Amino acid sequence: MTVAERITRWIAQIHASSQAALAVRLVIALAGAIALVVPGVQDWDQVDVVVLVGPALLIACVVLPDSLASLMFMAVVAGGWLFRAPSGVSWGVVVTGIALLAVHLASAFAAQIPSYAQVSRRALQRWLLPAMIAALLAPVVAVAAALVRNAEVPGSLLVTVAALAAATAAVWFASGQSAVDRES
Amino acid sequence: MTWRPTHAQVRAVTLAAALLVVAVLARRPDAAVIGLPLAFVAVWGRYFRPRERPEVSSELDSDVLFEGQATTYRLQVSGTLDPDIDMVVAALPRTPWFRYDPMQAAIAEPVADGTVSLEVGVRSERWGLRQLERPNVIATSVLGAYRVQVQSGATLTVRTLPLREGFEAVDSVPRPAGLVGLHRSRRPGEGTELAGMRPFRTGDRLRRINWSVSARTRELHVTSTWSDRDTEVVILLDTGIEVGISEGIDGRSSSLDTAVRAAASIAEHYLRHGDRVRLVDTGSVVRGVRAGSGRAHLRRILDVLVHADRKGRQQDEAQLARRHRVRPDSLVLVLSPLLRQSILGYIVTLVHSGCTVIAVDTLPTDVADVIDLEQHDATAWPLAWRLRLLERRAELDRLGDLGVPTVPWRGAGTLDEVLRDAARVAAAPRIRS
Repeated sequence: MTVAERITRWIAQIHASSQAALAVRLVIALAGAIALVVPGVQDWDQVDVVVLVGPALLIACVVLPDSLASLMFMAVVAGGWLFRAPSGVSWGVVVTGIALLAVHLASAFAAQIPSYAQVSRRALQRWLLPAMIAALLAPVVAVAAALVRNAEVPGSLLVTVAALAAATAAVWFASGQSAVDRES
Repeated sequence: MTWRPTHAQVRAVTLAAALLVVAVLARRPDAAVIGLPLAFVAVWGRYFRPRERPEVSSELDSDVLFEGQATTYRLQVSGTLDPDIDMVVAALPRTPWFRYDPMQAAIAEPVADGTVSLEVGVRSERWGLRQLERPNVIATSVLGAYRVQVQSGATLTVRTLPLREGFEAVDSVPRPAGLVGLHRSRRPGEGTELAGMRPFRTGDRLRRINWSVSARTRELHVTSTWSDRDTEVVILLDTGIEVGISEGIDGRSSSLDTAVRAAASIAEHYLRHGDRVRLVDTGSVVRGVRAGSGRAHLRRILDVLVHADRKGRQQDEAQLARRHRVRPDSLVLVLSPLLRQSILGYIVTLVHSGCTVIAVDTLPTDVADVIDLEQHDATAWPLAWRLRLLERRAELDRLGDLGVPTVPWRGAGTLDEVLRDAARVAAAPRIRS
């Protein structure tokens, strides 16, 4: 397929884009913009690479949701936050976390349908509950972390090891590894 | 192929792992705020990972269509679906001469109650025998975490018959010859068409006596009728050349499109009136249809027309005359762009054998304007066509001198005038030398 044919096909697909595909890409764009802007308005200086690379990666996320672009965008934003932000919990990190979650979920939904596909209204029915719980987790964890920090509870090796083990178990399970049943 | 994690699941797992490790080791609660929702999404997606692979079967409501007619393409999941399958997405590849509803033929349907059914409207826009490609079908799990390519059924074949508009012609054929039929013959006899009143003669049936006229004239009179007869209509389809652009039933027609559609309409018309219709395809030695009548015969003709193709081995004038002998009293309708010498020669042969021949011109009127700039010279091409059309005009004039009228195909009523003329000429008294 020549470049001209490829461009023609893209234009035709944009013309034929369904409302669902456009709406979900709009969500990616809005949530991604929020994830870029919120760290930028904080007291600390934003990492330059986020400002330079972030918008380009966001455009890539909107155009190619079923690609590594979303992973790189989220990694850049989260990495930028961790490199420069002070070790604390603020409203900014909650908003950024929810925005990144929205980018992830919208990209996941957009990735499984062709842009021109006609999508049923009931398509998001089974997504609502986990998405709501995940979105609520961010403020809940933030509040819990703030409470613990304000209570000045000293950290211990045991708590750290337990948290690390829990995180490892969650990641182990989520990545599809299993000690019991192993598929061929 | 098994259920495989998508980019979304890989993304969630990778970012969650990295952020949670940083949160724990570097004591960064903000990393946990960002990472924990992603970890939850990753765990949810993994927990509701489907195990079974669905199988999809495809079917068409009707695999025989008329041009412009639509049917429904159904994709159904056979058996019971894994309850963890969230959505089935299907996309039909584009196939020439089919129009889909929705336009791009891609549908995403969530699984409800363990079943899913996807429907796409398919409209056939050109006659012929074509295959609908297999659809690309994928099934996804909740949160788009896992995905599997689903094997869809076999390719489906759609037979599109070249019949749409109703064709009507005057109820006259030049030489009605058979014993049954609906055409009024030139000969008085048993029939339904009123010829007049005449005095009773020996041999007349008593039920033919018109009592009111007999009482008034005080002499026995009978109602005389014309006998009802049929004829053999031969449709000669020239598939040796296709001129013009074919855009389907709603657009421009090539000469072959016009010829095939006209053949179907003419066959349907004459078979409806009880005549015997025969089809001769110049591009095939075996695909002709012998003379016959009735609805089943129409289906036979339509089935052969579906295969009409200019790529077939064309027969020259001598082969046509040898392989397709036509009865002298037949009505021969030649559907052709009238550009090939072999067809013109065969028409002359038919006229000399005593047939009534009518040439239906299927050449598109805008033929000189159709230019392929990659193959044709923009200046020379229209000029060449103009010369060729002048030459053709002279050839058609010579055919006219032989008694072969040429009419362009205009649908209903195309043949009315020439059929009347031919019937009048056939009914005129002849002087035998």
